[in-house]
Amino acid sequence: MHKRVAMAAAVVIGILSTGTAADASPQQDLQAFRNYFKMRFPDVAFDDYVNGPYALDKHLRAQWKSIMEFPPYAFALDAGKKLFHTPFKNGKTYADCFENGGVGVRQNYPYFDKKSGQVMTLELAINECREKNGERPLKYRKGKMTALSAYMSYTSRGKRFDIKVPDGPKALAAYRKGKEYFYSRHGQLGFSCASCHVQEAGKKVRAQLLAPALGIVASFPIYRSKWGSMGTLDRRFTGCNRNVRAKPFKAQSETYRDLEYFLTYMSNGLPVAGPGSRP
Amino acid sequence: MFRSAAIVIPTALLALPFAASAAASRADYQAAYQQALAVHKKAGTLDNQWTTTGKVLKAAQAAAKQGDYDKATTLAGKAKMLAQLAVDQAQTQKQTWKKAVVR
Repeated sequence: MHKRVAMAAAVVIGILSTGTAADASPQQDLQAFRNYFKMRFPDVAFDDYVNGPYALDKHLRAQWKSIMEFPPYAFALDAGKKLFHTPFKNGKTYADCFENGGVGVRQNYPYFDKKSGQVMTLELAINECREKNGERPLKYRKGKMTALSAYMSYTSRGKRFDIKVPDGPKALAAYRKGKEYFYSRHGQLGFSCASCHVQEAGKKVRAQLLAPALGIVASFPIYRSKWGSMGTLDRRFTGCNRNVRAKPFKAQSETYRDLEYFLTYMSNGLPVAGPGSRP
Repeated sequence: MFRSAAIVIPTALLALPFAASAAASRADYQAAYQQALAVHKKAGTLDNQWTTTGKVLKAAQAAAKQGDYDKATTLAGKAKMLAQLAVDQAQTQKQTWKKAVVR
């Protein structure tokens, strides 16, 4: 009898916990996320998660440190600084569009814009600024956009991510859509983001060491050796989708922005480390 | 010789209508392609189109352009199957993603 009651209770608790994990608050998710990786990689310091695969493999780390003597993103950084300070045709600059003149603000992006009811990423804000000042928007995946984003991230290095999900159903819905996408399997190969960056983090897919999801966005934009150039999160999401044979979404689509919102919230408390360099 | 010809020729004549019906027509291909496209679009509304489906649909179009409607129809059928799998995956994941959440 007692055994049956205990088993029934365990089933009920199991069901309740399933519901809790899917419907958990952002704060609960964050705590669970950190605990998971702490248990998974007990020797990795919290702040080191911003370094992705280099936090897990000493050989890769040694190579990376050598590479960083002449960072491959340095050219983008210089170009970004120049672009950032070059006035638009109307005489205004990017600094006029952002809080604190656009310096040291990366840690607050993406944020939920209550006015538009959407997630506002740094790249979207850069293009909004351009359009507001009569300039044509930049492409989101590579090129000048990565240079500007790299420079703005660089001025924010060390500041800790502080993403908020404000009260209200719309912000929470955007967060939850990002969370659902992160954990849902897609494409012919049936992988989710979590398949690689939670469940299999630290293992290898061919020669690539899979980075943990915790802190994975902190170094963007990145110079990726595979690309031979800089890329934004949009570029990386697109590549991940293609790898699993899922049709990618448009850059800065609602799906990608919501995913970035969830992932960056999961990186709260970690320092901005962009721009970064990856294999 | 005449005897065997007497058997073979009527048999071949009997088989002709079947042979003609086995070869896919342009209309067969178009119907199969439209069906595949409809399911592929449905996968799109569920945010889960597969790149593979798109490639097979293009291959079907290319075969049809060459006049190879047999191949084109077969490929369109394959595309429909892939698209249906994508739809099934998206519908299943509406619930199963919850089991993967870190807790």
